[in-house]
Amino acid sequence: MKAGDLYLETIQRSDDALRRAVAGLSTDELRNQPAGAGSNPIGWLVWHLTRTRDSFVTGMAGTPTIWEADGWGEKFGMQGEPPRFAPENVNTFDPKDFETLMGYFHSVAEKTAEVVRDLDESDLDRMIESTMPGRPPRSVGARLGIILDDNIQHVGQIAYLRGLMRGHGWF
Amino acid sequence: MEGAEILKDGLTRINRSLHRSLADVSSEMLSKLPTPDTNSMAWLVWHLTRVHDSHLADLIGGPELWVSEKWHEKFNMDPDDSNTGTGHTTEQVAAIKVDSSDVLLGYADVVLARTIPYLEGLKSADLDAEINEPQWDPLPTVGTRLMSVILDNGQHAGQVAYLRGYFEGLGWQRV
Repeated sequence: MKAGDLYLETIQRSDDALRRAVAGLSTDELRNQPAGAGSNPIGWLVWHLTRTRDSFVTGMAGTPTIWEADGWGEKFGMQGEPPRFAPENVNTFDPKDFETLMGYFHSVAEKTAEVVRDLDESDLDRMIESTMPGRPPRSVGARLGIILDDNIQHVGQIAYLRGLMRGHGWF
Repeated sequence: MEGAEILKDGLTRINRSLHRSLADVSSEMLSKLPTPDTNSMAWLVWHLTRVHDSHLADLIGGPELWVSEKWHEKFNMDPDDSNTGTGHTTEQVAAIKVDSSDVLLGYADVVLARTIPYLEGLKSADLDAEINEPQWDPLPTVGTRLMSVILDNGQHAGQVAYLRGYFEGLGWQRV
């Protein structure tokens, strides 16, 4: 199994876990903050993990983000660059509805497969400049590692929040 | 970069995340439950490490450190190597208590330390070796089994981080 295939299978299993954890959630549940004011709601977590992945994956491919290319800003009612979300304003994030939120996720998941499927081991060692000022360049493999860790941890949080809202035994 | 390096990177990141989340956490917070039927930070870290230890021992073909290095004693538990926490009741979850995060991180660290040289010795073809567990179709491979550990451990590490924020309030990770 090629390293890229192994990676793709892992992140796709994480994606399946995400789909199970959000299945059938209402818009209210996507906005709910069971851990209190300032805590991250499921909707924001899905959006954030998708945005992070969008930026890293399209950065590797050297193409505009799916967010920009497919006009997701408009669909989420955001003008220009999204605000920087922090505990103080995370409650202002609007997930719109399940279809919009998961539609963006689905597009980025497809793009991930397209970009990662063709990578071979030497591609993983290719260095990429960071788009953030002051950050060191990283290899494609390291960037993929960051996305995987970020996504899996947030999926775990989403699953936990679902359990908090709906009680145990949902999965 | 080879497949085994991706796995090593993933498991190392999870371990670092656990160290950040558990730094200076009191034993009270470790066993606190947000609601009666949820999982505590202590249970989550114990469970994810049990899963890792158990799968690694199977792959290596040796005993679990839980038994061979007597980690069960540090948790005041039986040396039952089939107990990884899966299917635990609310009472069993609440029973996992530790005096400090040292024992949780100590166990996680030794299991990771055993994993690294194992991964470094794997070739790409080794990851494709099938594991004889006919209850699964297709059969798991060494690669997919290690991915399962990352998926399980990574999700639980995310939950531990979330719980710290839950109990401690905003911005703990900015420090």
